[in-house]
Formats: sequence, structure tokens, C-alpha cells
Amino acid sequence: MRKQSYLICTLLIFVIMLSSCAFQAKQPTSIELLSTMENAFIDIAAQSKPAIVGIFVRHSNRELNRWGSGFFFREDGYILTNDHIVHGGQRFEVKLLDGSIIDAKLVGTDVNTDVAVLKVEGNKEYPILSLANSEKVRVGQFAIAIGNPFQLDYTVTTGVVSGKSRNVLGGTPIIRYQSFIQTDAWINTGSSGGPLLNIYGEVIGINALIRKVENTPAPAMAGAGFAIPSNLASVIGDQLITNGKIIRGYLGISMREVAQGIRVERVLLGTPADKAGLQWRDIIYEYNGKKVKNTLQFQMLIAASPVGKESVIKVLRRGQQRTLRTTIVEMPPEMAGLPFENNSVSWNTLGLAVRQLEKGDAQRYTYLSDEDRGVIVERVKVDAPGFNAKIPRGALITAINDEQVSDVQSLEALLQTHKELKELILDIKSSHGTEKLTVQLQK
Amino acid sequence: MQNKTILTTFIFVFVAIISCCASLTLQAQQPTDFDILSSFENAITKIVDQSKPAVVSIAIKKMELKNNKPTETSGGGSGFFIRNDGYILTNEHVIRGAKEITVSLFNGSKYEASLVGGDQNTDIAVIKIDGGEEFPVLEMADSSKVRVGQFAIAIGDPIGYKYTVTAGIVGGTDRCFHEKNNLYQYHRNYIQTDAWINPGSSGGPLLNIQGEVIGINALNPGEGSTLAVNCELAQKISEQLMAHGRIIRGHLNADMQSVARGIRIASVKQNTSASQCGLKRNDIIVEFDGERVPGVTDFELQIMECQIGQQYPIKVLRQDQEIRLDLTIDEMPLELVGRSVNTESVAWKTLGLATRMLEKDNYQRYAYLNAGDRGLLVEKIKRKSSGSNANIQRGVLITAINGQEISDVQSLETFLENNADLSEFILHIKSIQGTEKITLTL
Repeated sequence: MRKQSYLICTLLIFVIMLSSCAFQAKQPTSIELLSTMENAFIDIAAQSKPAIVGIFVRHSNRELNRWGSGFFFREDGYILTNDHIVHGGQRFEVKLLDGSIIDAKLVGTDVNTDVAVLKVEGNKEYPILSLANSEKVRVGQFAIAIGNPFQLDYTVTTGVVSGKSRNVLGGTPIIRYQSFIQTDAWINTGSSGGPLLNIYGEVIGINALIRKVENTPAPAMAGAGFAIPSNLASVIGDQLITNGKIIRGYLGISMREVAQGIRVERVLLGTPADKAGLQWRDIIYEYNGKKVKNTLQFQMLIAASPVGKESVIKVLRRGQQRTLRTTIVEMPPEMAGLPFENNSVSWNTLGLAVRQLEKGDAQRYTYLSDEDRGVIVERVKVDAPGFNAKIPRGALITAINDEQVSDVQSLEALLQTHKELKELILDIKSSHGTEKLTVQLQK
Repeated sequence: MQNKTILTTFIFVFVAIISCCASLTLQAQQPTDFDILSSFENAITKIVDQSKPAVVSIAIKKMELKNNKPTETSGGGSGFFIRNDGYILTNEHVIRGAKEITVSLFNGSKYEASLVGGDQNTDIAVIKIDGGEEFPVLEMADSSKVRVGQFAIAIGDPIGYKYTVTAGIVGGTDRCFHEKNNLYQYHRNYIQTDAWINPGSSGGPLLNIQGEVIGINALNPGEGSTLAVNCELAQKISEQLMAHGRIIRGHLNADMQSVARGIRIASVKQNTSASQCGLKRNDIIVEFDGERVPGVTDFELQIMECQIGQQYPIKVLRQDQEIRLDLTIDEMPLELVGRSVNTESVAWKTLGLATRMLEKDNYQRYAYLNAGDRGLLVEKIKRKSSGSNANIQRGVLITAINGQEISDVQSLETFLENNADLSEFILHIKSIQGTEKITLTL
């Protein structure tokens, strides 16, 4: 009997314990939930920090020295960052979590995507961040930006993904491959090059720029930061490690996205597009068997197509389907963001690089005849007076302020004498016919 | 002994069940911090995905004076469907002055929209598109349940960045913000949030985590805060706009302040119904329409809802004596509702009268008008004009001139232009006093 009561007693205690257990395992309170969320953010930041570095870039001109952020993406010491941070730098220093500063060398940099790769020496294994599939990023998901501005400690900001596939920069000389991820997590200048993370601590983008929206009373950035999607950064990073540079195919058109594909806005003379016979207002709907969907996809297709091989372009011209063929060339250095040096007066004042009229030009340029005299515009500097006056590449300059231009020397001499004028009137012959263009000189 | 065996068996079974349970709970393990964050994230992306199709981008074209030349300018903002037959809620300042409104939907299709009505005092407007289809709508939240600190998700269409989503929390629920202008500003209950809003996001929804609209993103006064028009106010105004196309508010032409015993009259404007009913400076209104008066802000709201031209009994303390008066409520003057006199109109130049058409349905707001009434409501009278000499009062309805019926502003203008040689006009008017004929001498 005693034993029995003892047993019952144990049983009772057990039941009580169990029920209390069950009670504890009940739904967590909202504070507990919020606290676990907060802990998750703290963990992400803590886990990611060791892979994030500060970058200091020294220039020969000390005033140009700058700093930014970056992160290891390969254990053997490769660091992803922005081109605009390392651009033109002479020496590179990397600051790690433990405060140590080590030298790094520039593996490669690509102005077209604003991606650069640095490498630190040493056989150490470095902590890395893995790259997420940026295709799967959803608007509204959390985004955590971590930067390591050189002087300040790690800066962590959070927000959500505000948008995808954003095209931000317009009118730059360089062909930009843009498909930015937009976020409302605050990105400061020093955070540039740092990672934008998802809640699993994977990189969805490289923080690249902030945009000032005009007419806002709010401070400079008005809550919009932009990051290079990880998929693009990954492809470019790998290519930079393998080749040290990005070799891109080049077609030679300016374009606009329309419903059926890409509409040709301008064909640059002498380029593969010109040779293929592409015309203004053609709508490109297929390229090498692939359907053309949008600007970025088309730009990427051209960039990826092998240089020197024939490409097939299908276009709609006045509703008619046509198939054109051309050989893709390597992107000219100035398009790839490499400097173009020219010390002529025409380059410095008008932003035009010109050359003598050559034999065969009359055959090459349909609007020229053998009797024409003048100089051919080979290159137009973006935002320079000549560019603003809409002087096309391949145009023939025949006169300046009604004075005849017969060769490069006479053009240079004329420009030298008219240096003080505010505007010049150029006689131009191009595919638009003969016209007088007024060029406003910049003072 | 047998008893004992049964008991032992019972215990064994029990323990077995318990261990089973325990193992089950072990299997069902506590979710990790990341699981919880992830499910929270999923909740947000779901709200965004569900709400986006109901959010629209609004582009407008309007004429503006630039260097004294009328120039076509463009503008725009965001909005969202509140009714599946195509009614869209937005901010009044988004569509102000628009001569053309284009709405782009999430799926890329574009529609020409018509203005249903706009109210500058609350910055709420309703526009409508006709698509012959059902549009996805957003539901309004219960404004009384909005709490400071709750999550807020803003969806808008700032310049160039289609469907930008920003998130934050509600920073305040009853914020005041007064822009510097003459407008009667209704706003005492803006919802403040730290979710970022950029120009062009105006008119877009601020959502709670149920995906319901808690506010209409309206302003960005800076310092990382955004003010959204309270959903309850937005709903009330939009319903009135959809029903009547215009918000008609009552007004008492006096400066008032709250005092312990009621509402003290600080000054009374002359030649208004307030002065005509005998209300005087330093009077304290204690009762209005048989009820004790609330504070001055609530009293103003109460008056706004009153019928125009209706007499309301009030009890007033004057030098500690109780007096009873009958107070007539005027319509809110046009300057206070953000409208101005068209000084170019012939009616203003010759008769000294600024008028607007009485839209059907709106007769309900006027005590002296009936369903069949058509004509022009006098909104303002020029000083020392034939209109003021003939003692025409604000709020009267002009139904005919020289025997010819008038139903819209243009027909009066045309009549005056065609009869420019006349020096006398006979107006048929309807007012609190009834119908009468008034002769105007130029």
C-alpha cells in the first residue's frame, strides 16, 4: 500500500512536471519573437564581420587617396570591391577585423560594372562570404549593409530590398551594365564596396552608390542605396581573376528598350553595327538565336559574344523581318573606361579627335564624294562641346566660322585663333546631310 | 497484488506515452532565430507581392505660367485602387491643376483617368479609370488600432524607380503639420513613419503587416520622417468625393478659443451670419444645438458637418447672463478651401460676383435648396460692385438672369458677353429668405 501511494506520488509529480514543461513550450510572446529576430540580425553581423575589410587606396597625388570597403569571397585572399574605389590607385592596403593592415595587389578592375578584385598575399585561409543567387532576391526581403570605412569601425545598417533591376546612371561615356538592387538600408560613402547581405549572411549585392534625389528637404540620399547584384559581381570577379581584365564584344549602337525588343537609336560608323547594315529605328528582336528581352540582357549578350566571330542579328525594319550578319569586335578602350590621350587643340576645346580625309573614305561614307575637303571626326568626348552640339562620329568638318578647313593643321590653327570665342559655327557633312552646327565652348 | 500489477501496467503505459510526447516535442524543436526572421521576411514579401497590383503610378500634364508664358509641365505621383470598378485614391497635390491624368498599372497597361474630386484641405483626391474589368483593391485599416511602433511598409513610385518598397515603423499617430498658407488645414492626425518616401511616392499606401492601408503617404518634412494622411480621414473624404464630387464644409466666421466654460468668441467678422445672429466678442458658447460644446478643434469639426444656411440654437454666456441665439452656418469661404476667384471672368468684372455651379446631389448640404434646384452659388462678392450694392449675400443660388435660366458658369459668361450693352440685370435668386428677384444696376 505504501509502495502504491509512493508510485502514485511519483506519477503525480511527473504529470505536473510534464504539464509545466508543455506550458513553457507554448507560443513565445511577441517580445520573445522580436528578440529572436533581433538576435538573428546581431548574429548575421557578427558572423560576417571577419570577412569584411576596409580598403585604403593610395594615389601618387595624395589628395586623391580614398577608402572604402570590400569582402573576401575566396579563401585564398581574393577580395571583391568597387572599381570606383580602386580606380587609378597606386598602392592598396587592407584592414582586417583584428586591426592588422596588409598590402594587397590589384587583380583586375572593370569600370563597366564597377567591380574590382584585390588579392592579399600570404598563404593564410581567410574567412569568406558566400554569394547568394541574386535572381532569387525578392522585393521586401531584409537587406543588411555592412561597411568598414577605414577610420571608422564596422557600420551595420538594415532595411529591405526596395526594388530590383534598377538603371541609375544615364549619359555616362562608359557602357554600363546596370541591374542594381535598390535598398532603403543606409549606405554611406565609406560603405561602398561592402556587402549587402540577406538574412542568411549571403551576399546579394555589392554596395555601389547612393543617389541624391533632387528637391528633397531630406538629407543627401533620401533613403535609396544601390548594389551591384551578386550574380553579375560573381561572373566579373571570376573573369578578372582568370584574365585580369574583361574582354567584351562591341556592336556600336545606342539603343532603347521597346515592347518587341531593342530599337536602334544611333549607329556608330565603322562599327560592326554599321558593317552589318543596321539602321536607325531597326528593332532587334533576336541575337544569335536568342530572343532579345531588355537592354541589360542584350548588352550582356553582345559583351559575351566571342570577338572576331560572326553574329546573326534579326531585326524588324518597317515591319519586315531581316537577318543581318556581322563580326563582333572588342570593345574600344574608351568605351571600356580606359583613358584616351590626345593633346590636340580640337580634343581639348571641342572634345573631337579628327583625322585627315583618306582615300576610300568616299566609298566608306555614303554621304561623301571625291570632291569633299575637310577632316573626319573619329572620336567624340562625352559631355564636351562637340558632343553637346551632337556632332556624330564619322562626320566631315568642312569649315569653322565660314573659314575653310582643308586638313588637320588648318583646323588646329583656326581653333587656336578662335580660342577666345564663346561659340563656333561648324559646317558639317554627315548622314543627316550638310548642316551648320553651333558649338558652345566651355570656359 | 493484482491491483498492484494493474497499477504498474498503468504507470508503464503512462510513462511510454509521456516519453513518446517528449520525443515528439524534441522533434518539433524550437525554431531558430533565423527561422523566425525568415518567416517574418516572408510575411513582408508576401504583403508586397499582394499589394503591388493595386498600386498605380500617376502622371499628369498641366499648364503653368513660366516667364509669363503658359507652358505645359508634367508631374505625378502614386495612388491605389479603393474600389474594383476603377476608383483610385491619391493625394490632391499629385493631381492639382491637371488637364490630363494618365494612370499606369503594375502590369504596364495605361489608362486615361478622370478626376472624381479633390479636397485640398485634407490633400485627398479620387480619380477614376474605366477598364470594364475588376481591379485589385487595397483595404483600409481601422485607424483606431494603429499603434506607435508597429511596422509600416510604404509602396510608391518615385521618379524613375517603379514600385519602390521601403519599410519602417509608425513613429507617431496624431501628428500636426501645417504648411504656410491660408488654407484651412484639417490635419491633426497624420501618421508619422520612418519608412523613406521620395518625391513621386506621394499618394501611395502605407501598409500594416496585414496589408491594409493605414495612411496615404503625403509629405516628407525631412529628418527621416514621412507623414501619411490618416486612413480613416482618407476613407471618409474619398467616400464623400465619390458621392458628391466635392466636400462642402460649414464655417463659423469667428475666431474662437477653448475656455473652461465653453468656447470664447475672440472676434466676429462683420456682415456674416455670425454677426447677424447677434454673436458678440467675449461671448462664451456653452451649448450648440442642445448639446454641450466640446473643445474648439472638435467644435470646428462639428460645424464643418453642419448644413449650410441651417439655423442652430445656441446658448451663450454674456456677462454671466445666459442668452439664446439662433446661429446660421455659412459655407467655408473659398480662400480657406484653396480656391481663388477667377478675376478674368465677366461676371466678376461686371457684376462683382464669383460663382460656381451647383452640382447635383450637393443641394443636400444646403438647408434652403431642393433636389430640382439648378444654378450658380455665389462664392464671393467684390467690394463696391453692383453685386454688393444690391446686397447679394454669399451662398445664394442664382437660378436665372433676365428670365433666362442659368445652370453653369459658362452660360452666365456667355449671357453677359452677349448683353454687354445692358446696364441693368434682374437676377432670380434663392436663399434662406426664399426666392426673390434682385435688380443689379451697373
